[in-house]
Amino acid sequence: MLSEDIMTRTKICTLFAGYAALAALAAGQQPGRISGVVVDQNGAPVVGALVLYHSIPDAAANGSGRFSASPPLVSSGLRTGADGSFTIPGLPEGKYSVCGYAATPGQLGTCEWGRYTPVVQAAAGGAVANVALQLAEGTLVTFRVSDPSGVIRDTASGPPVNGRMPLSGGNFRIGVMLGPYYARAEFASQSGVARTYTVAVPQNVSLVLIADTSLQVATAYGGAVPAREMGFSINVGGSSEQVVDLTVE
Amino acid sequence: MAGLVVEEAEIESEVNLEGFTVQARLVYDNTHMTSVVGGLGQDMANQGFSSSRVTVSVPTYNVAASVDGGSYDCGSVYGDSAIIDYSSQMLAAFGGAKFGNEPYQTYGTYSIPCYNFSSVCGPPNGTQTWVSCATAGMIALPVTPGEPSIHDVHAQPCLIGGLSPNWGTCVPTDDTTAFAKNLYSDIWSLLTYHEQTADLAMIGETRSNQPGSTACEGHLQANATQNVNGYLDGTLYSSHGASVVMRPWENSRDLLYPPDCYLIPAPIGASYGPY
Repeated sequence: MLSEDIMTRTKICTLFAGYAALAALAAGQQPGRISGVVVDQNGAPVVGALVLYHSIPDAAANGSGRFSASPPLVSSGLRTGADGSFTIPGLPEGKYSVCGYAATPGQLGTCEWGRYTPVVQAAAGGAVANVALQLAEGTLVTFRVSDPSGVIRDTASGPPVNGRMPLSGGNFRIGVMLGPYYARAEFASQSGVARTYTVAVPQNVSLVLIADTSLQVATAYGGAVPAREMGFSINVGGSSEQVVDLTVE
Repeated sequence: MAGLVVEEAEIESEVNLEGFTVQARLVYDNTHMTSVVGGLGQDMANQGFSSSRVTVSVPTYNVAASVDGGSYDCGSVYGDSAIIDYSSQMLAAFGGAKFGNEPYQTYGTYSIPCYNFSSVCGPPNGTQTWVSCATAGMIALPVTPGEPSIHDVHAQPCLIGGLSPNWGTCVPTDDTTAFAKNLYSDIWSLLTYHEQTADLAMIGETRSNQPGSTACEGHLQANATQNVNGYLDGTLYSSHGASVVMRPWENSRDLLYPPDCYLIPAPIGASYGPY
């Protein structure tokens, strides 16, 4: 469950009203601009934080009466400068989601775990300034997974072709749930039979481990982690790091 | 029932997991911790049918490219064609990869979600570092059923009119043959690259060869011909034709256009598929 503290940080910043498509630019409208700063939990600027933004699609009825989303016409990202600031230029008039993500492991982005997602309305030719994206202090949970038999398989077979992202295959995925929110632990490293997967989570919460795998997964104490079911809890304290040891057979 | 084969159980039509990630709850419901597709697959198996034929269908993008005959194509963040980005998203959700809003898209003037090679992540290189960068902010499902063994794409290829006021609107007088060829060949490439070549391909709700020269839902009979010709020109037909179903959209339940569309499903014959 999310803490009251996190929930009360929810902010929806709707600064202007209206909507138009990319065509507005072609029609001669001046592009808008959104600028702001990414700060840490103490209010200090964060250098190199990732800022992702995308226009928010509208749902519209098509010719046969079905509702479909108009695609987001703008979707991109940039990193903050030396003073933690960012400026997104060249935006068509419209609504944008603007999210800040940490530059260092363990911090929580503004759009993660149910934290607020600022929605900013950019006006044609206008500048929206002082959008503040505040990261939160979290705990980096590291799963140390021992795979003595080498049964973990990452992709269907072989390396990706032409840099393609593997969509299928792989037989071992782990993540954690906090209420309805889920985040997958990302593969971080491998050394011999030892693998690590990491995920940043809020502090002082109780998580549920989800092992999306048909492999046998056991804890350091020998207890079995149920496959694809809830059943193994992880209590996260107030420290910046926490390690969970697992073995795969 | 003896002899009955269920080729597909389509539990939702034209899912858009990029725009509406909540639709992934049709696969796994994280609010009730229920594997919807897994449960339905088990129900199918209990009745003697294939559990892997439970799926959702997806739409496709159409390209705004009246200036080059609709031949434009590009790769999405998944490395598949951006024209069939919804297919990549669906396979990702079922198979355990990231899906949702792709952070680095550049639509250009073609209105398809090309991956921006100039983004902070750089060109795709297949490394875990690149994948983590290029999928920032995207989500994954806690429990995934694996990809279904049928791939259902609702394709109505057309060239859209470009920018306002015709943005997103098909231009029925533009020849869609070249674009249809791209689209269907892209589906085969996706099945190939993601090792799904044993799948059936269902082209659902595709162009109806409506009688006469009038429009069906705004599309001319010529568009249906162009659609089929493009399909026959592409690699999906030449490499996988025996496992493809072309299912034209018939519009009997839609009272908006009843005089102009077929009211009865019309088989298009063995030349274009197994059924």
